[in-house]
Amino acid sequence: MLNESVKVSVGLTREWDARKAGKDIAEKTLEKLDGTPDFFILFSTIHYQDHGGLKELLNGIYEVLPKEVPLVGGTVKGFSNNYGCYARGATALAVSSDQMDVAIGIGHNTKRNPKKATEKCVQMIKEKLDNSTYKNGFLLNIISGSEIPNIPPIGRKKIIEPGAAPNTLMKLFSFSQKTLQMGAARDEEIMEEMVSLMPDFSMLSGGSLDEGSGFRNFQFHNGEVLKNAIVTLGIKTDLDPYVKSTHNMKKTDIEFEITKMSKDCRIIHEINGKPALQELLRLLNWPKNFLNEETWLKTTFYFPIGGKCVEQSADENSPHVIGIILGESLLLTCKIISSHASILTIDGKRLLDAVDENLSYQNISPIFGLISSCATRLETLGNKIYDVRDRIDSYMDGNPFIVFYVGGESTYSLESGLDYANMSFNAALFA
Amino acid sequence: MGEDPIADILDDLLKLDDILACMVARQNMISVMPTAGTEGFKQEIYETWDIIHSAMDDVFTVIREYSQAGLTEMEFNLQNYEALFYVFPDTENALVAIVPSLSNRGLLAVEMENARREIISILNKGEQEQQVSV
Repeated sequence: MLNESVKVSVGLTREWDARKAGKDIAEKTLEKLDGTPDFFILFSTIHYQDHGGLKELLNGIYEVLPKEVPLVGGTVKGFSNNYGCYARGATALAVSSDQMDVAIGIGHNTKRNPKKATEKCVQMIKEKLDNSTYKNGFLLNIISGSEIPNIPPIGRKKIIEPGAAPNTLMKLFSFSQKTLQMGAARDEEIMEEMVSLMPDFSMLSGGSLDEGSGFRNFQFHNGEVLKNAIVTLGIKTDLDPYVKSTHNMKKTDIEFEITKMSKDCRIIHEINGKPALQELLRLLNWPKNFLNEETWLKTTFYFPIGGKCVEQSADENSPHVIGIILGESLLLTCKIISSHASILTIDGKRLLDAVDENLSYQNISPIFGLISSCATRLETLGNKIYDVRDRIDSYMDGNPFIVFYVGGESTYSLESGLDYANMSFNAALFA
Repeated sequence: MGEDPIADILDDLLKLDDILACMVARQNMISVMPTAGTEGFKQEIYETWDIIHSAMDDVFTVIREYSQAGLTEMEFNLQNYEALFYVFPDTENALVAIVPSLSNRGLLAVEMENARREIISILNKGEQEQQVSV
């Protein structure tokens, strides 16, 4: 059932060539829309960068989409929509309404200076939306996701063996983070800043990714392909946005104290007064060689560290995935501000239940939905991701939706506060 | 696009880096190959192909037995490779792919599932057209 003043459509392309895919996705998305959209949201897998280039994808889109239509989006590990689930291709959602004001914001150098990037982005949004008379504000934030740091002379690896002195390693990591902008996304810092600057807007966010190697990811703004940026779609509308985050992680009985940490609360140096890696392996009862580049996907992701991530959140057990190992220290993909932490875990059933828990919280009939979900959920469930998608499809009752699989996700509303996590399911539904 | 739509689906799968070989098969028979046949398989699988092919036939004994009971997937590891079987429901046939042991299985599984669904759709369409013409 569509609100008559709002038209929404979702498109899908599975073309291999970037230019053809761009044209295809634009045609398929617009053919159902019956008019020029007010905005166009695009998610694509990274493979187009190697099959013509992402710029060609956007060029193909703008062969069909009018140049004045704003476009935001980014690369994702996969996506689901009304048509199915995909680890290759592109999907788009376009909305047309005569009762909506739209703005786009961009900020650059997010890994180097997230605060400044957010301020720039917010300034652009406010310039266009401050005088809007519609009652509800919503922001969709696509933020450049984490990348494996470049630690000379070792290069880019998930596990940096102890060898260099810890201080040297930290300096090299800092160089990679601040100068090369290869490292933690710092997207939770962006979200904290965004919330402080625009507290009246509901928000959904996700960190762009590649296919899993962690070497590159990109954001889209109109015809531009960006790196290390935040791109934000801002809307003011009389539609009600409902946002909710769930993760359904289970706390194990393994608890510990973080006794030494970096100033930015992102690197754990010591656990229980001992070197972090050594103590973590002891607590998990894992032999040292159990954790390596090859087993990474099957080990660390499934035993995240639970703790508080952002001050505004009520969740004391927010899942934190270990991004890389630096000697004996653990670099998390997002900061942890609690000294008491635990090991969390999850199974397939709980992953699915997180969806039901989220959707049942929102007792509405949405006319469209955007959902950011951790890419780990996609990797874990594999083809069973269709179970997730079918649950959403049933809830949406045929109305358009996209689930985009990202690294680092959050929702924010004035009522619920900021919920930032890894391995979570985050819905923004409009009714 | 070739003449066989199922071969086209296999060609698409083969474009994924981690799919070293794929086919539609049943016991003792490969029903559909990608358009280029085994020559389209990735180079690294050639050395191990014969033994994997032989092991596949043994797996199909189980698939034949339990497909009607709801068996949907099987897999085995041999040397540095995994063979993935996505069974077509209630049949003795499966979509088979050979992948490296440490490949990102989650993403591959999504695309294998999509290929299975597309093939089933083609097969069902073919059956319906046959029924109509009868």
